[in-house]
Amino acid sequence: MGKAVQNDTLAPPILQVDGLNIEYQGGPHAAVAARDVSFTIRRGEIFGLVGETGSGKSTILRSIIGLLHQKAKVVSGAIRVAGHEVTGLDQAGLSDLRREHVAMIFQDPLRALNPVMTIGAQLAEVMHAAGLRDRDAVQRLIVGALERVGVADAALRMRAYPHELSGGLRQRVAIAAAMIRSPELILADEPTTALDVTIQDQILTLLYDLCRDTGMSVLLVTHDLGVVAEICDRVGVLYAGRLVETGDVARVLTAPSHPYTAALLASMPRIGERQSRLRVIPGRPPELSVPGCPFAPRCAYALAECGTIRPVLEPAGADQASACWRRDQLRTCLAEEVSVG
Amino acid sequence: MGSGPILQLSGVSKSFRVGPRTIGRPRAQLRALDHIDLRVEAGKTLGIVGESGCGKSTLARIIVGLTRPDAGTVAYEGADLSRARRRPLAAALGLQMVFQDPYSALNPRMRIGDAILEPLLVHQIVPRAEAPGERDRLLDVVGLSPSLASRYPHELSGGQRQRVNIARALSVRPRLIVADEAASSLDVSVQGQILNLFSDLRDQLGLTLIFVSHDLNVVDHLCDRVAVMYLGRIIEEGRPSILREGALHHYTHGLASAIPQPIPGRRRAQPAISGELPSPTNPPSGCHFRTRCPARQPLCAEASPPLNPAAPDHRVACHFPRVSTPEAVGRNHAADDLTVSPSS
Repeated sequence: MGKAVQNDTLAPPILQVDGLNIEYQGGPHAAVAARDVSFTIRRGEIFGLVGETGSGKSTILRSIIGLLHQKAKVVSGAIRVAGHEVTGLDQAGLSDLRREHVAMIFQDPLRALNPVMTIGAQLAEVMHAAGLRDRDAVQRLIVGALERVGVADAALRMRAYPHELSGGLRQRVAIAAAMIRSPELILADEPTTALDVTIQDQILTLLYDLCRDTGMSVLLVTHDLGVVAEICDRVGVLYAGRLVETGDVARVLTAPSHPYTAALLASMPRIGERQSRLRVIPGRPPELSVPGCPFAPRCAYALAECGTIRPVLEPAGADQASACWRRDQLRTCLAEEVSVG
Repeated sequence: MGSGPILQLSGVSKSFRVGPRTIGRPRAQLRALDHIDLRVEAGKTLGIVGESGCGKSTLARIIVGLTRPDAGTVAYEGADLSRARRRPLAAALGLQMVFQDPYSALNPRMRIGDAILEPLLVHQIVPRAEAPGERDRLLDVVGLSPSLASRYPHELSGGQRQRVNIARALSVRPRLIVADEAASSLDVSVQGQILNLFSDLRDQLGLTLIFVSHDLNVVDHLCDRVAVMYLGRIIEEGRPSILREGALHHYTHGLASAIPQPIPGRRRAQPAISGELPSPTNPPSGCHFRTRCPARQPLCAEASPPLNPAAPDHRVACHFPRVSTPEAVGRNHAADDLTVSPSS
């Protein structure tokens, strides 16, 4: 896991998110989607952003490339991609950003591709936008791009329309399109959620290999801690719009420092660990902002002060940070909670 | 409980016509189910797993009578239901289904209390005067407060809605419930609550459960037996240990290894199964899995392997099955037996 990054913690950052606040406006109350979110992705790193429905993970990802819903506004905070500030960019600035630095992969590749263009024509469009005009060169590059993402018979397949391809092949084409400009950062929003598990496995392997070969970084948004364990180097756990834990994947999954991470891990059924009952998290996430820790009402370890004073993300050991007052006291019991058997 | 099969399927096949209607050319034939033989013992939980297009949902619909098979028999408590134009009421009520999307399974303009009352009154399960009490009892059984009875479906969360659907299924006192991806659209923490509810109901009411899912983690957790499907056929059937080291079919083994687990350091250099699912309208000859199988031989293209017993309680359809070490099997069977089930 993460060999390329672990030995080189000094790799420069490609993405810095600092104190990000996003609200959905227009309703009777402003709904909070992200609160004081800060994290950094270094070059060559695969960073997983996990959370349940409504935790704000997709909103945060979309804010990085200027694709927020009309009603959603970045209220405060900074987002820097390769050193350039993204918040407040106009359309021309966003186009530059998307052309030079960042590409995106969506959950549903059928909707991300144009249904009335062959996939070859769609990939050619990207090359034309880059100023490449020579037909033969474009053709060669397209075949190369498709072969690199594991599309067999690339010269034949480039004449196909998206509906003629399977879901897995479509996602490979979408990845090829994203990779053409050699972006420094790929934003992937649940890229394998719509796929069957054997195909998900293939696509995750492909993303991992591309990342290691080219040195690009990936921000992977997912609800599945299993997917995070498969390919991510570092992870951020979101709860009700706040990062409650960040850190090295191996540490967070085996020795979580926030009760929510531990509870999430313990509530996942796993092959080979049959118990008579699954652990569950009682209640559900708060819909409005609460004064203290957002997880306190559902937390098995909450004290009175947890409901009134909000903890902030602070270091909890090497390359791990937790927004929990009791992170040091709970170390052992959280590790026991997620330990196997 | 545990006395004889409550449900027995023999040679069940089903085809659909798909694709554009063109004059003078027959439409493509999609073989959704190909000679399915399956027995479900009363009080046990069967998991049916497979990827999209394997026929698992068609099988679920045939079991509860929403789809009629082209061939074969579906026997519920010994009586063949597959030929009946209308199922006898006892069978129709005895077999209930819970669907994947809890919202579209409920009438959006009906209060959830009324949605549960309706089957109670229509089928005269209890005298009219006792129906509201029975409704509150059912809400309580599925872990909902009776004070929610006046709410509409849109006022509930996804997990609460699924509990309402389970209460509706339970209202007619079924003996067998088929759950088609019933927890798949829910968040992990809520999914756990619904899975626990299913295992409580099985243990308390002695229900037989058929759990259709693409999620092997869920099936391994909940089920006594597992059937693995690929392109319309059952390719392996046995104890849940077949989802671990006990797999004899190469597809079962690959599918199980492809499931992401929240355990760091499992990264493999190669995907567990390469290639794409072949077209279901034109599946490969012989063994359907041979195009993606690491152990394929010329024979696999010529003859379709029958689903034969490989061990007691274990059937597999493969000419060249994996070798499973006796120690691994023993260890896994011990793990299977750990699940406490008061009914056994």
